Amino acid sequence: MEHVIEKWPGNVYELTIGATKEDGGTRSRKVKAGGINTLPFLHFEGLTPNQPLIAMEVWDIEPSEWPENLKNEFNEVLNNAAQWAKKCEDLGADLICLRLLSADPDGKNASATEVARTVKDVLSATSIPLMILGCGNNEKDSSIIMDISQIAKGENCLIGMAVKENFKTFTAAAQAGGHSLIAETPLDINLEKQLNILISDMGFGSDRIVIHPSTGGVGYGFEYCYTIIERTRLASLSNDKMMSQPIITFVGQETWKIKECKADETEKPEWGSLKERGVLWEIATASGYLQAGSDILVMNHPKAVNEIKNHINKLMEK
Amino acid sequence: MSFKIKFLPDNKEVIVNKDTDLLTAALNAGVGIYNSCGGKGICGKCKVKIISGETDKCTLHLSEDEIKNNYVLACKTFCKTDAEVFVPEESRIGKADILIRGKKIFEPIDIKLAKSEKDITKSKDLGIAIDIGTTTLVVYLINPNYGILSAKAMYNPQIAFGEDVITRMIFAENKEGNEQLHNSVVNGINELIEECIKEINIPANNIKTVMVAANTTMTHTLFGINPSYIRKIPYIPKMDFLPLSDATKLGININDNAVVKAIPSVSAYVGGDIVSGVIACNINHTSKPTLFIDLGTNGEVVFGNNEFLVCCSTSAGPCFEGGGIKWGMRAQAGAIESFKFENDKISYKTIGNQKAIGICGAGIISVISELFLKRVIDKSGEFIIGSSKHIKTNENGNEFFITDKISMTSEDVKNVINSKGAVFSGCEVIIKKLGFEFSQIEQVKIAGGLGNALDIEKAIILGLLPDLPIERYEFVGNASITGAKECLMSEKELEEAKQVARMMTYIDLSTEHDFMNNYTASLFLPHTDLNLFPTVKNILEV
Repeated sequence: MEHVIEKWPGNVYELTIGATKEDGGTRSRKVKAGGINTLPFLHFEGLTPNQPLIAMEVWDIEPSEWPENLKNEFNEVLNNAAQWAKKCEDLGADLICLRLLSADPDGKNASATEVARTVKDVLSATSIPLMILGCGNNEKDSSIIMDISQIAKGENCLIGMAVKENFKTFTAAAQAGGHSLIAETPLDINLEKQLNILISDMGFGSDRIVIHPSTGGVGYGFEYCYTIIERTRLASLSNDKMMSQPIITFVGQETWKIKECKADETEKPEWGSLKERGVLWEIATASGYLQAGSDILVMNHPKAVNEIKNHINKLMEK
Repeated sequence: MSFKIKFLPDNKEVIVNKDTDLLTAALNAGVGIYNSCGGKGICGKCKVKIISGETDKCTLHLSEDEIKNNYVLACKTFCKTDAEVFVPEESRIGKADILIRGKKIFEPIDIKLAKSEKDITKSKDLGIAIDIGTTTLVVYLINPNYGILSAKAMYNPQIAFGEDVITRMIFAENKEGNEQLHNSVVNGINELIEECIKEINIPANNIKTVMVAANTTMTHTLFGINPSYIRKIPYIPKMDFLPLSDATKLGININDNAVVKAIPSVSAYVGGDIVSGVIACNINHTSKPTLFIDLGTNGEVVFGNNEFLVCCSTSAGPCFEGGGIKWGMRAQAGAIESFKFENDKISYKTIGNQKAIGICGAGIISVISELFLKRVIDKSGEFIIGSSKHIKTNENGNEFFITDKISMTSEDVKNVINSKGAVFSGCEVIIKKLGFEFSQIEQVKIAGGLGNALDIEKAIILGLLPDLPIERYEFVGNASITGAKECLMSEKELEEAKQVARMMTYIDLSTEHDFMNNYTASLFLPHTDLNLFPTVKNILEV
């Protein structure tokens, strides 16, 4: 029987994160995301030059909302971002996702200088590439992003989140510091494309953007996110260059805040052991997003990270 | 306790009690004050100046300057003594001259040149064609054998009860509200008929037929039928085909035995005015696939030819008629209708070359599309700070000042983008649903009261109209009244209108799952998918 193979005219941009000594940075290695010219893991149909990356989250404040069994994994380093990042490197993360939550005006309200110092410390303590996110408050993030970008200049980081309200400042900062940019939109392929167009209209390379289409955990809008990612990927394979960016999903963040990963056995005896439940939930969410087409997964629990790494290795076998 | 209020510059007086707000008082005095929220204190358009007398001033929405100059918001201000109130030009509902000056629309026969003046004006079988729009009211006095004898227009007096059909449907929910709506529109019609017969000097008794073209809600209110069910699930009007009615019964002051006919509606949101427009543009007789767009508040779109007709209502909103825009106004004298911007220098033209007092639909399209081309507005509709010295930033966001006073705010630009997105995606849905491509549309008819200066090219740059060669477009102005005139003059045309209303397929966009996706894609300048606008793409790349 004839073997029918889909031939796509387009492919996803390949993005390099991190800079080694030769590139003017201090990282021991670089990582690459994207580059695929087929749907995920269809090795018979096209090329998957890079396997999906796993970033592990590091906060610059203690994550008080996290459930105990997740916190316990990082106990001794939770109040030190640099040590926490080092631990993630040792646990096998491809890159570090540093969240500067101390800058939140409703919390510690740390200054640009303070958070920039944290970035510096994390860069010194680790040798893998770095992703840096603000605190989520647009106004504050816009006021600190330039300092963050400058302190990490030359390291080719991935910075975020550029949203419709602040993309001008973020794009300028990423341009000035030579970093790539995460563009975040509320689950809509048109809004994704619009933000990418606006960012590239500022003279920023469309091959240096990563799309965050919004992430929902399994049971919390996952299916919707899945179809949006799939449609984005189909658009890139059809050669829409404003939709051809690698995709990032925040799996850990969406897993560990839901009641299924927080309610213990006394509250929900029928749900089984909480310790396993949370890890399983993160694994299930991550493997779902791998199939959707996510190129970078941001995760939390070391056990889940380990399982997903094995899973990716198996999926990459031809 | 009652007070006497005098309204200037009309010099009209009215006696009111202490619980009557100034807007209602003005209405009772027969003074039109512009407002779009129906007197709820939301729109901030009914500004008036207190010349004398004590009032409990309401200064919502007003600037410091205005407060200093004794301005108040009429709808929320009550008198404590006798008072004199000045209604400034921008708050006045004036006579809508321009609306009857449509390009090919108003061609009154020159009575003096006609063979026998007597035959034409002394006929005892004259008729009246009426177009009742949500915003405007137009009346033609017609001799069915010859043509138009006189044409008059005004704002629909129902505006005082709210600017859009939904507000009026809510107002009509109780019996009195419905009666008030009915009475106010009939009074308006009588006023216009009065003016017509005075001009031609004929007795009202000679008028024996009335032909009405109006949207579904307006037709309901004219016939005194409660329209409030239109906005309730399953959105079915009480009637679409109306039997003959008596002018006397409706209160229209013409011959006692005169009949009133209405052009039938298609659905809740596609009314007789659109059917009338189809007749006026002869779409039911052409083999050419034709797109008909009414750029009014409801933004109806019709696509088809002599074999099929499909329609939808895109709920564009009032911005192409000047509503919902800070300095928006209808197409009348003093409205900015075209705009140019070169090297940070502004030039514009107003209707009647008078002092600019606002911006009409055509002007709004012109301003935004020019500023977009000159990179003062980005693709998302935001002003680019630093791109022009005319941009000022205040607590409400950014504003582009066209004159010292008149401006376009970033909120206005967003409103226009929402409206143009609705119209374009509505066209896209019905065209695609029938398996057509835009390029297969052979002619496009644009109707509406947004001003004769409408620049099609600019509307395409904005992403409002499909990117087709300019020569396929024609601006037809008020097509509704033209259709009504034709139906009045020929029984055959009226039969055809009935057939059109029956054959037209209505597509409810709210249940089309493609619509939402297309709509978000069109909320960008000109569109998220630039390939849909190849000529704009070329202009932008230069």
